[in-house]
Amino acid sequence: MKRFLIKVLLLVIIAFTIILIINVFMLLSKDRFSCYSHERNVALAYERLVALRDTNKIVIIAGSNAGFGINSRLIKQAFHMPVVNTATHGGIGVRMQFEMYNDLLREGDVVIFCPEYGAGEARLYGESTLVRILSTHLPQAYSKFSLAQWVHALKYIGIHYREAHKHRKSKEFDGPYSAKAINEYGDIEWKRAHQDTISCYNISSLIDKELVAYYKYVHATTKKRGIRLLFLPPTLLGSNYHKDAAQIEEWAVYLKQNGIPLQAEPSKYAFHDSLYYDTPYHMTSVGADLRTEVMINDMARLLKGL
Amino acid sequence: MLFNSLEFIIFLPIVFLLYWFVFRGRRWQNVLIVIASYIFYGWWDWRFLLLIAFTSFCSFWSGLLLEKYEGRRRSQKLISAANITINLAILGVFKYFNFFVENLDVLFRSLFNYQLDWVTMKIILPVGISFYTFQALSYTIDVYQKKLPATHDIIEFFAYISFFPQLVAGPIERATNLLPQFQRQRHFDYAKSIDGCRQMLWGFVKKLLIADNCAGVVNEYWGNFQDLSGVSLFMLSILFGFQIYCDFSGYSDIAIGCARLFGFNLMRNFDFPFFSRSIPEFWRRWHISLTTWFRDYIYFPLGGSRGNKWIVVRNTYIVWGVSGLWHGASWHFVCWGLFHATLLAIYNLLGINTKYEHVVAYNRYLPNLKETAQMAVTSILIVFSWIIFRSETMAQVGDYLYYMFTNPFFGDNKMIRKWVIWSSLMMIVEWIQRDKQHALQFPSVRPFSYAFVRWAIYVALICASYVAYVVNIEDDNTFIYFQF
Repeated sequence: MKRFLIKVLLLVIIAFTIILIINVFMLLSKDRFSCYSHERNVALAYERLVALRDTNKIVIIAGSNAGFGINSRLIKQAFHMPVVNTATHGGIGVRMQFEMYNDLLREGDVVIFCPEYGAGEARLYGESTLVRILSTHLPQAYSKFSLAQWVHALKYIGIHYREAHKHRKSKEFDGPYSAKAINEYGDIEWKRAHQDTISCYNISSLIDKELVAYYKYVHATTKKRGIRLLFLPPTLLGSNYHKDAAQIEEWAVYLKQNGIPLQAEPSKYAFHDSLYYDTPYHMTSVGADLRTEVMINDMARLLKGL
Repeated sequence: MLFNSLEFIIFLPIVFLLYWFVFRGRRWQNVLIVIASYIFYGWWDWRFLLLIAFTSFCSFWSGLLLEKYEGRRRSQKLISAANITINLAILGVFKYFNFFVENLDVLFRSLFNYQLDWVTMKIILPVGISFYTFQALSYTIDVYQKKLPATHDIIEFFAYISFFPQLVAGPIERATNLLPQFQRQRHFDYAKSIDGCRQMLWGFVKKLLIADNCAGVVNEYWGNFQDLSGVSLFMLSILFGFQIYCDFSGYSDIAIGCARLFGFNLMRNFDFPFFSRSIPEFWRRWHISLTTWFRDYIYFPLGGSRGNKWIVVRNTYIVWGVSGLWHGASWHFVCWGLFHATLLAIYNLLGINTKYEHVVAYNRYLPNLKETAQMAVTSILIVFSWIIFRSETMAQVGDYLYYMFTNPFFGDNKMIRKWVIWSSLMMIVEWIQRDKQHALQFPSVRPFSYAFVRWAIYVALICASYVAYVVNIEDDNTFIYFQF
């Protein structure tokens, strides 16, 4: 028995070590499709924030609802501060959307935080998109992973590797989802017209204790460092909002009860369907301007005296 | 709990260590097996446990009653009939109720214009119900036929029915083989355990590396095959053959290997069936535990091969009709069974039902021309039977065959070709090892006599299986035979 156990243990150790190396190799493989896509904004935003490390700025942290729904130029004109739109993809997860750039924020900065609606581990810790984006564009951000985040991300390593392998012959492309569409602030600046094929998301419940605990942490850590955090609702397709208004209202109440109230009415950020591009979160160019105007008004109200 | 899951990787070593170091002694080890097996099975849905416990209890009790009424044949007949009826009724309700109601509904509508569809119920099919029900039936029948004395130990009986390595997808064990093993003291056997680990590894390789990758391609193109060329459609059905073989024989290898770690010998379930020279030989090598179950408990009681040829043909059709239905409550499974019955009947009538003493190309590297031709004919017939098996309806079978013969014959599909080639490489390994119990029983010749070569192969296979597992993690990778 002893001989058997030693042999099995030895085999497990050898196999585990090699599997670990394989995992690192798979984790660090780059996705060529992602290289040419708007996902590159993650790295560009990082570079911009490094450059503005010693300057007060407005930083937008969110998923693609802000990338495809904000005109940062208008915000800059209104507040005369540099703007960095880090918003790239909801699949990154709320935690890494914030942690990737947390160290580059400084006292006096304004953070506009408007994550998409949703609940569950994927909303907090992200999906396979996170591994793809970090491995391709910002591998140093893996140092920000917590143990829970690693456990969650482990199952996506293989999926990322498979996708990267599939995309190994991808070529540069055009369009709103291409890297070419990113402007100097990080917004998607590619002419986008409404498409008729948008289907509503099914928002069943938004109550998520773990996610709210993280929002509380963001709230506390920014407050402690003298950073102004504006927690605003994301934009959402009008018909989708009306369908799920009860859940969203319940969520807003829940946040308020937990001491992190939304600083604007969610209904104000739900626009007519014709102002959305291809998903309930992605706006057309006209829609993005309109949403930004609403946002500027809210910011002006909240940042009085800035 | 799936074999190819993280839970099982943690579960198995815990149970193994408890079994040999904590729960010492036969009785305590049996208790541990029951507990572990119920955890293993309840991992899917704890409600399934009630069903398996009820089935076990009924069969155990019927065994005791059969013993009590020893010498009173009529009473014994009633007892075994009652237990068989209960078991088949449970199987019928959970597996076949909706199938029969749906068909009855079609009949009533066409004859009386009356709808019966309100009778249909939402029934979840408990995983592996057909397997453990057959195992329970085997016990009752064997006790009734006096092949085995009834057991008085409920723990060992529950362990026999629920033994986790083979609980959900076989091999379907006979009470005469497995139950006595629960009644004996087990001792750790180094060589047996090492070989068990090798067999498990080969099972995982077949499942994770071949079956799951083939599944991705097969699922993508099956039902969406209108644009494929004749060759691609033929290759797709070959690929499904590889998928189901690697999936099911992979499971059996894991089950048999796992059982060996606990000191048990399960019966062989697959004996390199793709190297068969005839359809009867194929069925002596494929899902052996089920085929022999049907042979012993249905075919032989019907008269078997005694009597004239037409009786034999009739018996073959009955057995294969039931076998088709066992695989699933659907007409295409029945047709699949009848297709094989027809092939077997033809072989029987033509008198080419040879029972080969040795594997093909015995003591040779390659088969001769005759053997090659025999294997080719058998393989082509089997490939056609997979089309019936894999399709969801008979209409889909018709479409598949229609497109196979009317679409342009030549035309390449890269994905299908790629996985047919990979699977064929695995088959080459199996060809070389076809006289062994499993493909990782290395011959004691160089370079395999060197430990580092064997270890390098083990590590390479573990790593390759791991990579295959993680890249397919999003797909549905349960074993195909769980649904039966």
